[in-house]
Amino acid sequence: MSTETTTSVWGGGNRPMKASYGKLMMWFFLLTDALTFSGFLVAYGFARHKYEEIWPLAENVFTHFPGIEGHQPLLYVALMTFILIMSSVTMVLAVHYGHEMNKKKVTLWMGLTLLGGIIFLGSQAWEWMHFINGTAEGAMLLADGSVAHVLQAGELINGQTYAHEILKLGENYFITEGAKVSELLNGAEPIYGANMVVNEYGAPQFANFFFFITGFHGFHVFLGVVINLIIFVNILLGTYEKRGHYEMVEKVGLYWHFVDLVWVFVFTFFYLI
Amino acid sequence: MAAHSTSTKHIWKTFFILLIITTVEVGLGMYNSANPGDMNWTILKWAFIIMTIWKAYFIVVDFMHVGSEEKSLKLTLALPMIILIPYLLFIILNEAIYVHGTLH
Repeated sequence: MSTETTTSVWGGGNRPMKASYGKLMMWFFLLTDALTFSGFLVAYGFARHKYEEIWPLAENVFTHFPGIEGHQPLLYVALMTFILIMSSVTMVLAVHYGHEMNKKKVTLWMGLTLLGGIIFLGSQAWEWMHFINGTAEGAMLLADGSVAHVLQAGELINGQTYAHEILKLGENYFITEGAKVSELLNGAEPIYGANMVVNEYGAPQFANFFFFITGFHGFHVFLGVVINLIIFVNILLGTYEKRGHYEMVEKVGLYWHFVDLVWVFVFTFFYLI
Repeated sequence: MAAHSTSTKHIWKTFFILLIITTVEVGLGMYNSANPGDMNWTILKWAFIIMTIWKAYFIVVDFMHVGSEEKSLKLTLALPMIILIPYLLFIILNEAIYVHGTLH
């Protein structure tokens, strides 16, 4: 083991780029993780371009808000984004008071960060539940594998009243002729919500990417909550007071901010665009 | 430790910037959802992307304290992203546009 007096760069005697070993290792990890998420989001872009006609718009899929009736696009995900940004602020405040060796304030802000993470995970579970259960009307999975929305006769759509009845996703016209409708619905099955195989809102790839990317992000949040909890217990035990510094809080802080950073991109590419 | 002496005032300022950008994004998204076609989608899409990168900048520079790191570390972190991600995007999206309508 090298001692404090080692000055050789290769012996680890100085701090490369003036950052500590632990922080550099965290940055190594975050860099690889950032490229992993980039790969996922770019792959999402690929699938979206490929299946452009049947790709559902997130604003037509995620329209629920607890306690409010009706069509509420973007509102719920805006709340989730707010929660995550807020927990990022509480984390950076915990790091700040860590530098001041203020145990009481580090405990407070770290506790709030933990709470924010748990609320975010709960919100995500709620969103997944709605997506998996789908709408009351559902859709029809046609024999050829495409998805069609069956509409009530006389319903007003884009300023036009249709006699009936069926919109095959990816096509720009309604099929209203009775014989054609029954031919299409021959062998069709009703589907509700989304899973890895079917998706009532459109391309099943949308559901696959949604579950995979938000799931992988959610897994990061979950791990973050677990790690934050361990650090929180250590703060309470006074481990870092004894050690003389709160660098551990700083390191998990980097991870936590990264989770927020990834959400910023998921929010844009999944929900806004 | 002096390098990391961010004041709490500065932290809250960054928070409000992030909050305002997010509110603008959500507002534009909601308006576009309620009135499709009112706004030019290409411009709106780029506005969303620019606002996202802007938010990412604030998170990385202020919250992750990269702003007060050595220049060598800043470059080590930024260059792989700046070089690799646009490259990947270009290749994959270009291919996606080609593949669209060719394979099933």
